Amino acid sequence: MIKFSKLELLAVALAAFVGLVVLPCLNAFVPPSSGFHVTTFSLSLYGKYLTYAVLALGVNLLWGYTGLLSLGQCLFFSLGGYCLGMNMMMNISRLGQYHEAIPDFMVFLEFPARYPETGGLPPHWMPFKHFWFAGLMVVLVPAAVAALFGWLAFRSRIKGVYFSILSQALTYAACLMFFRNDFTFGGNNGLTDFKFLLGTPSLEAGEIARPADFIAKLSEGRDGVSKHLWSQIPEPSQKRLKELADANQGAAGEVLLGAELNKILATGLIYEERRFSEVALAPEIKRRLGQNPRDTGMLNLNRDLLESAFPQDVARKRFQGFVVNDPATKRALYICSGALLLLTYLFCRWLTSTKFGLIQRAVRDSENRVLFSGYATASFKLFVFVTAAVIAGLGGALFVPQVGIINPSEMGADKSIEAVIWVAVGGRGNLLGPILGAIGVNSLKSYATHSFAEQWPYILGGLFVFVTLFMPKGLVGLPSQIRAFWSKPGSTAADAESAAPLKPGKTARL
Amino acid sequence: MHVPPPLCAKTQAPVKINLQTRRVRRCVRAFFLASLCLGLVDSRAAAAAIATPSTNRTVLTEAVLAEDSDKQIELVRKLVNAGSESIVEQALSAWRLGNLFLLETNDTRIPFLLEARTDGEGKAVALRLLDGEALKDADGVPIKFSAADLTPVDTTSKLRKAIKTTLDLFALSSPNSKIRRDAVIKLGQEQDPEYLPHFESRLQDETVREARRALHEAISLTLAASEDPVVRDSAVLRLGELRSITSLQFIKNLEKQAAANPGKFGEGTLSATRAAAQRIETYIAFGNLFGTAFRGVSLSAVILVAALGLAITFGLMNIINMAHGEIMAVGAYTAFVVQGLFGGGLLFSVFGKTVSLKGMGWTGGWFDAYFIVALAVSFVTAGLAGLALERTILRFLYRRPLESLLATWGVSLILQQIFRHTFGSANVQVSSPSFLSGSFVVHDVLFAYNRLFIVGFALFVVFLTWLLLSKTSLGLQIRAVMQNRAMASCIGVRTERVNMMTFAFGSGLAGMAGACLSQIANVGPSLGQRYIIDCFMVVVLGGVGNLVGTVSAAVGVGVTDQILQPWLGAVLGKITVLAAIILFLQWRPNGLFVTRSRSLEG
Repeated sequence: MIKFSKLELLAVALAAFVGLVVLPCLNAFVPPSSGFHVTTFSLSLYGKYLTYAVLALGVNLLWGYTGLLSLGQCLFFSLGGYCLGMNMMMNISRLGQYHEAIPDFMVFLEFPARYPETGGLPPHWMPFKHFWFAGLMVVLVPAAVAALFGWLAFRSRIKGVYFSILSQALTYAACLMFFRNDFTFGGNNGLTDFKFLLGTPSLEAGEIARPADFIAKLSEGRDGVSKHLWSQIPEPSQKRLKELADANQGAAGEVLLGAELNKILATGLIYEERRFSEVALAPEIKRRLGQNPRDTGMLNLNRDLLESAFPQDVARKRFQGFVVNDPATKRALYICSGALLLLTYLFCRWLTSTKFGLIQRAVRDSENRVLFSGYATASFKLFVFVTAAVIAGLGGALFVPQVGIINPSEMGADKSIEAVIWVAVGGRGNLLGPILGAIGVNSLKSYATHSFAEQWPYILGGLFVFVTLFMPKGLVGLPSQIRAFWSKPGSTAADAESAAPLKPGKTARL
Repeated sequence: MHVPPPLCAKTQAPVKINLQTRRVRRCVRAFFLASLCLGLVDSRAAAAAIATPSTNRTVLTEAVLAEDSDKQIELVRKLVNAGSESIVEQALSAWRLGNLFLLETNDTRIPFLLEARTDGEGKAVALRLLDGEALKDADGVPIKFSAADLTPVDTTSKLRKAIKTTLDLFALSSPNSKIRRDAVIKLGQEQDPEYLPHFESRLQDETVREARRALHEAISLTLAASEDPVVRDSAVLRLGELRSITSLQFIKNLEKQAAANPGKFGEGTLSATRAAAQRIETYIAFGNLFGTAFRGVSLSAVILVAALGLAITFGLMNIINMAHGEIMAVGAYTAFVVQGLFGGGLLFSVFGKTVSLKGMGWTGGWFDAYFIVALAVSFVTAGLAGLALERTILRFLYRRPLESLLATWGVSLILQQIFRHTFGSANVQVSSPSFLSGSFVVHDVLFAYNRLFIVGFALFVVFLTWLLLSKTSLGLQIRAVMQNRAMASCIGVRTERVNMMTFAFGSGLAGMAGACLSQIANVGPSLGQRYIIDCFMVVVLGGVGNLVGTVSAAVGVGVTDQILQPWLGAVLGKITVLAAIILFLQWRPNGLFVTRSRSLEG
């Protein structure tokens, strides 16, 4: 069990309460006119900071506690993001520019010619249709990459600056790779234009009961809706559907019919008063019809209309996915980010207070002594590296739906170093510092790039220099540093250095 | 006088229309072509032409006036060797394009051209073809015509073709051997047997090797299209012997045809084409190999020059200077500034204020000397920048290498933004001095002078560094500190000072590297970022504090990169190199060469 001091418990509880309960409530229940209202945009921005804080906790676990400065953590962050992004790309369901079943960039890059057997979808994208798979990959992909790289690196005892440089090279290489269009992850545009999270209103496999009968019903066109839908299906498909229905090949018919119906559902509202005169519509649907919704709302409504028109044939879909741009979804994502941060905090708190954490710090302070005491330091380091990668991946997965885009520049070498400076600013080697640093530096960045963008590189660069020179323990260590300064008047930067007991054996390299 | 192809005139014509008064397009075009053909003749040139009425002019006039088109063609062909006289070329081009006119009176017919200069009404003086003199009316006033009002001399398609052939063949006797060679190659590609006698006669007078080779190639290529199997086969074999890359496509096509239609071409052709194609392909493969090797070596030299300073400071202080790339950029911008001072001056802004520096306005050799000066100056400026960096920041971080990495990254961000604010975010133009532009070709492999220079420069820098490390007392101290800092300090080496000097020297080298890079790469704020990862890889791969290690790592990275690029493309090649380095470190974790010591690192 984790032992909290009273102060820490109070602080964490208070922060969690404010972050997880108060802010979302201010967004949801306080009217926008009020001064206390938190806009959805701000909430989403805070959510982004929280995912950055998660990433920072991972960096801290590596650098602050194990002495491994990885300059490639954003690679794992982006990998997590890409995994979830792929799932969300699959949920767009023909709402893209091209109204195709595959994501826009695949149409644009002529994937149908490259992967004709799957209609343009690269085979490794297929399982990402399922959220559970994508969720699993969010954890597994960063873990696997980290495990492979870490194993190679720690096995041959690459450490210190060498490890930093190699991790930077890794993320640089990956960045180059993802920039390639051939790599099937959207090239330099990345993945974007998400519509739904966790599900989709489109017809999926198994949602048309008795496809052969349904095809027959549509082609006969007895009611207005059937007539309309059937007329929207292009002639070759009509012919093929009839053939399939006659041959009683339901499965094949369902695939084709599903594709055609999805296309119709995504192109425009299928409702027209005359057409739906025989259909009993629920009052809720009638209300939404009055709003004349577009894009995602239209697709949801079309699906409901279809279900109402053919209650026996089309399965009732209770969950049609969350609309990504919906304020409620944004709020939920924010809360998830906060919860993830809390959990990560608690996990790191627990891990560092165990015996494992003790060895971790021993490795940081003098790896050779730990090695000579009989510990396999490589395995310890590998475990921490993989853990940090998973933490980063989870953070990335929550980052992407809130920001709405993931592209290779997110895994550039500069981003990873920036993540390190958050930790340095906040103070490494403790758990509060990285969170403070990530939120603080990013707030500053949002403000600075908005108000004086030209000067931002100076500020950021100055931050790098200033913090390493004068605040080796970061914001969190500032009080003790000031105390030391007052008790020993006349001390300079050199003493500030000695105030950083991160390398206790301050002997020269022997 | 050079006659541009008609396409060029067509594309330029609309501009002229805007300049001139509104006139019909045909007229303008005629005017424009005429002006080109006549080469904007000034009166002096005309006078000179009058002084020497040539036989060529007589022949030309005769050709224009001849009734029979066969006779005309014959006369035109006679002019083949008259290319040195520009009027012949002008007149023929004008004839072919319908800008040669005929003044017909009752008993005489006088062919004439229009002068380029026109008066306000678009009329120009008519120049007689026979002697280049202006046509005059009875009062001795030159007669003026507008091209639009005149009817050009008739031509048949056969005649036009003959004129074109003659014009093409003029290039064969051009005084410039390169033009001759290019013309031969172009004509050879046409495989027109009509050219053969001209090639043969040219071959007898030709002395320049390249042009002779081109002539041989052209003759064989033309013969290779012959219907006679014996001639054809021997010509194809000869092409193989000549290793003619330009005719490979034809030979391959011939091989395909011969394979598809053995009855028509016969066994001999098939085997001859196969042998020739193989020979040429082997030659190309060798050429590619050497080309790749040269590119690899020159890339290696670039990386080496860039990484050397980094490797020294890393070996000495165990610090990776992330701002190393920006120190290189300091050198490159220094070259830009020196160039401006030698040449036409330059503009830049300091703290938002535009500063304009006046240059010396030198040209030619004096201006070219800027690059040599720039190399020296960039060593100084970058060295000073490095010194400042070491004194103000790095010396507080010697025992904290990871933090020094972050601090120097911060410095690199700041420097980049300073470049942007001072010189703008766009690339600046650093011109090559004349002795570095151009290239020479050996067996179809291109050697660019600037690349060669960089290879030589890299060797020089390595030599300089070796000299410093092994022949000076500073070098001795550097090596002592590298091996055992504490012990060196104990016996009186001022390690701080050694650090400072080494860092300044390493930065100076980076500055020279930057100045050098300005010759082959764009100079912009992000110049440093482009090479920095490669530099790091070289340092990590080469091992600490060893020149041999750095050199071999640089060559390894550069050559591997160039070998992989044709197969995998630039990006995948780079990724493969990175992966290979990571795997290589499994085998030798401390890099290629390690300075042995008894200390336990870390």
